[in-house]
Amino acid sequence: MENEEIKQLYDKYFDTVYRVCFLLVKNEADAKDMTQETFYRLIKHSPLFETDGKAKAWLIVTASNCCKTLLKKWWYKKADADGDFKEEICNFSDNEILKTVLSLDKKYSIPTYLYYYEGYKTAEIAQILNEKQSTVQTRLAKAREILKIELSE
Amino acid sequence: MKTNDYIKALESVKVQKNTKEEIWQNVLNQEEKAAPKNRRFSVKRFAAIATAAACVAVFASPLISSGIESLMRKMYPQSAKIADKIETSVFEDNDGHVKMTVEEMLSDMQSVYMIVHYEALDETGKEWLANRDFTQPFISDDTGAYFDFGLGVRLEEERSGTFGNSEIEENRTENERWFYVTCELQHVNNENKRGAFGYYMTDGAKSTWLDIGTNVETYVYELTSDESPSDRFIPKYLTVSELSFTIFAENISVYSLYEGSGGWRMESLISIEEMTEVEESTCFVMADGEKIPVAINGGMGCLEPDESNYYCDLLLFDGTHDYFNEETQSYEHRMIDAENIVGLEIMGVYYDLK
Repeated sequence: MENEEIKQLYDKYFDTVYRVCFLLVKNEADAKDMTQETFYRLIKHSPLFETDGKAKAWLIVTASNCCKTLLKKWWYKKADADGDFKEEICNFSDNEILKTVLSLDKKYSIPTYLYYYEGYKTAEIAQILNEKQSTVQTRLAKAREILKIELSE
Repeated sequence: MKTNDYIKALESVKVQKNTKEEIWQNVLNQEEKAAPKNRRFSVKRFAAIATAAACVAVFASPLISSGIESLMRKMYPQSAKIADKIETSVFEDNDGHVKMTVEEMLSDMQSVYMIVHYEALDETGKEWLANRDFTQPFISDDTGAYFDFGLGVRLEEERSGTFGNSEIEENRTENERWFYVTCELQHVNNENKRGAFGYYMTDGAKSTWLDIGTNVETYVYELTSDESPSDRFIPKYLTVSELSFTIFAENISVYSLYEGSGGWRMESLISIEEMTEVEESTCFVMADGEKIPVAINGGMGCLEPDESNYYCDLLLFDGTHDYFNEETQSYEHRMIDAENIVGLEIMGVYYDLK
């Protein structure tokens, strides 16, 4: 894949990747780093995608994986997560809804984002995340309960 | 909360346009720093190796137990030197529609090479096999590992590394597909000597633990010298096998850790030029006096000191012994006679290993 094609994917899906990273790492600095790492992997591996949809799915999963790896690194765990992350979330102090959204566990936050923001169906989310559809549905239901989202499907 | 409230909240999570451009430049810079000789395996490189191997005459070799000619020796010709170490019929899974078999494996836990065979058992399996994309990323519940490129091997704790798979097209039929899977994993001395092998079956992505540590022996040497090659690090240990090597060191000023927003961060203190100078001056010294430059696929990483890395806090260099062939413009597999390495030289400082 040429850099120009990759740049097109970058322009098109940067926001999606950034949001996925932000939902998982919950701070701007690491979200930027992980976004950078995701697109670096895209250049490094240069996979061939049949459709833009498949490229987007690949980017979402790769972004998730990058973030999960970071969260497991030993020097990352050394941080007092409560202290540092609370400070970051407080930067959105005027956005109570966002604070609530960011408090979701990662197993709920990504399916919720893909469903309500990106508009994927549960079957599509299941395929992207390699989960059973029933698992995705259960997690969405749980997320709705936590966020008290009123159904508007 | 209404759905629109949720959407609006997420819309506020974004960066400025100049930040977006800055990140793009960082991506390009990061890619540029991974010069060809230091680049890890990628899917494109697999294709280059596969093509080269197809042009090599297949060795007249003993057939493996299933009667199939060794594809490992075809894809990795130099593995003939240690043919007796290639493990066969490693693992099999069967869901009634397809059978997946790890037919061959060669591994020192840092490099893992596998021949993976899929066979359709019925029409459902045949259709699945015809349409399956074997490079799709997934996370498996079986072992908790993630596979960002489909078929591959991950270690416990998801230590970073790269892997990929290359389909052996000439063996593909309506009912069978074959893959050459290669994995380069960062330093390992895992007591369990196991890795998570990720693969697909018709009912989804799966993974299982495989013993990957008993195939090819790794030699461990403590590095001692009156001199030090650099004031930024002190080399401490070398592990080396026919397939790969790692040099562990003590960090003095290659990197520093500091506490920043969002947690601890690592700052690199060494320039690319300095790193390259060290890389290019590092070589194995063989018993016959030959000096073989080490083929570095990754280098200079921060480590959490523990028993598995000899309590070192710096991964100086690691990699397989592959080298970049300027003539073919592709990476080629190579093996080094690990038993006959007598020394390691870094920036002119010699470490006697015998």
